[in-house]
Amino acid sequence: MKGQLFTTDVLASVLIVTIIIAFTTWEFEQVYNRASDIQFEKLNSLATDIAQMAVKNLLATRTANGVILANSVNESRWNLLKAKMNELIIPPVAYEAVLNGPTPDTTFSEIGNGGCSYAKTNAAVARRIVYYYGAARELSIKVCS
Amino acid sequence: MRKGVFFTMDAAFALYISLLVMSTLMIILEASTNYSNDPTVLMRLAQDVYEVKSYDPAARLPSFIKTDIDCNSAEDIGSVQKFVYSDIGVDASWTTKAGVYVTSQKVCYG
Repeated sequence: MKGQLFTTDVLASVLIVTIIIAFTTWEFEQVYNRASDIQFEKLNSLATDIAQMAVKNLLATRTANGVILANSVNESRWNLLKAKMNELIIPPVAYEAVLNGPTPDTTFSEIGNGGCSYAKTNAAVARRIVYYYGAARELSIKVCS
Repeated sequence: MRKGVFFTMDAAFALYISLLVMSTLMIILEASTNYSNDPTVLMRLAQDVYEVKSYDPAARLPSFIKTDIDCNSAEDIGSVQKFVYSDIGVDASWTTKAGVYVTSQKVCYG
């Protein structure tokens, strides 16, 4: 068949260059992925720890004699969680926290310090289940950077 | 120019396309193996469900989670076991007897 021709040497050198470029790109991608994973692990650890602290202590209802009722949340403590998170999570890390009920209401309005909705490259979410006035609710804490 | 074995443009393009397809497949396969469930997360959710049920056994749980027998066919299950005191419990010989018993709570994603 007539056509433009390559010698074996030219083809071999083109293949070698392609493989070198591919491996270099792959290595860069691996480094980027690892950095992204490490960042995610940090955010995930932060979100998980804050959620644990929230359901077991910060949001938990107290009895008259001071006993903590873990996982039973009190709406008057929602602002306490906001204050603690504002203290612990500082830019460039941002957070959003929301307590979803079986039906939409405004008792627990979403809190946050700038939002995770824009210009963020990594995010972790911790979801926990809490009790509030006869129903289970989902506490969702999202931390991003 | 040195004489050698000749390849047409078609053959060279075919090799390139094969390399591109192989590398794309490798990327897709690699991405699909990155996801994994953290068992600690499910264990903590099981603990949460146990606490919530201790306040209200009939409390309806959020839809993203299932419990107990609904998790029989689930791949990832979180579970906690608790010692509880009951004065109307049943011991190993099915005799009603007061004492400390083990209760468990299983959860999985719905």
